[in-house]
Amino acid sequence: MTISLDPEQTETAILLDFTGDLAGRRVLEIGSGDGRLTWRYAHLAESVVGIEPSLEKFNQAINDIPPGLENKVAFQNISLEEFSANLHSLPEPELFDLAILSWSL
Amino acid sequence: MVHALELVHSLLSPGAVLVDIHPTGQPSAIEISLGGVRHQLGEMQEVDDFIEYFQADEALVQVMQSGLFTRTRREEFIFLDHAASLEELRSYLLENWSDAVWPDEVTRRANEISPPGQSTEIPATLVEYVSISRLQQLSPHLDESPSR
Repeated sequence: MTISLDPEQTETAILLDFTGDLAGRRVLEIGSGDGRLTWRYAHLAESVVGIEPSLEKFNQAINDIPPGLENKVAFQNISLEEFSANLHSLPEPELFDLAILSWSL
Repeated sequence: MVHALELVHSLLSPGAVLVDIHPTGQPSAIEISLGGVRHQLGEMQEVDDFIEYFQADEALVQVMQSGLFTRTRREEFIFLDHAASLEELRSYLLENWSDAVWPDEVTRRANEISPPGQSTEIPATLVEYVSISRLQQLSPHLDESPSR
């Protein structure tokens, strides 16, 4: 089955217009799914953490990381609540410059 | 949803940005293209997902009213899902969109306007209506006036 989602990249264009310059910014993508949207902007950011509670989608994202993004993107199979608790348990939590709720609110 | 937004607020640096993307709740349209002309066959029916989209809007309003974020921009855009055939689109949606109900009228309309026997082989598109908002995190530390 071949379904092409947003090949026009309308979503990408408007997302980047809304975020502004991503250079040097730490991004948290909540509900990163299979990485469909992540691949379209991650190369522009300093780093991306994608959190996805679905194991199936998380595994798909891990398997599909494009060359060159391996050291820039990190996915976690975790809920927002767990991720937040983990981060705030650190002595000096490193906060994010941008959060993206990707069809997940 | 409000709780999720409160968590997001706590994960952001002071003055950082949140971009939220979610469907508007307007039913998605199913279209085919024949001879360069787009034909809308019907709209995807959802059992209750559309309620969540309105709740998401309401949650954003609540966190703005509580002073956690301020919205600096909002727009709507169209997101297209392209399939090689109407049957492929139907299978994809029923498999990946558990809340979706494929309306009978779509197949009937496709049969009416397509060449005989080809209605399910014509490329099809799902037109989704999506909202995007840019919110700036408001930090009490930033907003406090210096004590005198």
